[in-house]
Amino acid sequence: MMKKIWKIVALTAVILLIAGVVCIGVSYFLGGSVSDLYENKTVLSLLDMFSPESIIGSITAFFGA
Amino acid sequence: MNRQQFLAELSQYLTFFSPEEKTKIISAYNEKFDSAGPECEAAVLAELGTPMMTAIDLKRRVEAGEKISFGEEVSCEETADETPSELSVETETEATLESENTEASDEPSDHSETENEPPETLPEAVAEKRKPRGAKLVFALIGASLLSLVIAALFLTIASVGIGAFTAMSYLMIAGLNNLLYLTDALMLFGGGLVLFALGLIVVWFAIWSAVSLISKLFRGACKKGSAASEKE
Repeated sequence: MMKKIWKIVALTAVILLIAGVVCIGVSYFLGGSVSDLYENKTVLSLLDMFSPESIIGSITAFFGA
Repeated sequence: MNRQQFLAELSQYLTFFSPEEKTKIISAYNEKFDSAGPECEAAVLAELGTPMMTAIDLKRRVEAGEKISFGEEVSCEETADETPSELSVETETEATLESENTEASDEPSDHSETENEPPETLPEAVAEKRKPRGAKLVFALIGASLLSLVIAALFLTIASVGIGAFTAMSYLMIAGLNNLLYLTDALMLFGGGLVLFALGLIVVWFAIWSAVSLISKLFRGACKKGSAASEKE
C-alpha cells in the first residue's frame, strides 16, 4: 500500500518538476530572466516575501530569538 | 507467494502468541495445506489472504475468546479429508478432539502428536491465554506512546516545510495569473510554483510515511519485547 502511494507521489513529483522546468526553460527561451522578474513591481513584494533573509527573519521571530 | 513463504511470513506476524501456540497454529495451517494437496495450494492461499491479515484475524479472535477459523475447505478438493476447518488456537478444534475421541476407540494409534492432546487440557490453556499481560508490557506501551509523540512532532516539523512550499506555490501561481500579460514573467512564476509543489509533495509524503512506519515498528517492537518480558515473569 505504502509502496503504491510512494510510486504515485514520485511519479506526480517528477511530472510536476518536468513541467516546472519546461515552463522556466520556455520563459528563458522567450527572453525572460529572474532579474527581469525583480523589475516587475507586482511580483517584487512576493519575491521579497520568499527571499531567504525574509524566511530566516520570520523563523527567528517565531522562536523569539 | 507459495506455501512456504506464506507460513514463514505468518510465523513472523504471530508475535502475540507464545512459541508453543505459534507452532500449533503453523502446524494447523500445514495440515490444511497437506489435506488440500499441492494442486489446491493456490486456492488455499487465495482463500487465506495475506499472512498479515490472517495473523490480525487470529489475534482478534483470541482476544475475543472466539474459536479460530483456519479457513473453509477449498472447492478444488475432491476427496473429503479428515482435517477440520475450525480449530482452537491453543490446541486443535473441539471438533477434532471430539472426532478423535470417537475414533480413538476404533483406531487408537493412527494420529499425529498434536491430535493426541487430551481435551481436558483445553480449559486450562484457555484460562492461561486469557491471563492479562504483565506490567512490563504496559510500561513498554507507555514508553512507545511517549516516543511516538516525539517522532510525530519531529515529522510534523518536516511536513510543515512541505506545507510552506505548498503555500509559496499557491502565491507564485496567483502572481503568475495576475501577470499573464507579461508572458515570460508568468511562465517563470508558474515554473517556480510547479517545482515548489513537487518538492512540497515529496517532503510531506516522506514525513507522513516515515512517521507512520517508525511509529508502527515502535509499537510492534514494544509489544513483542513487553510480551516476552511478561512471559519470563
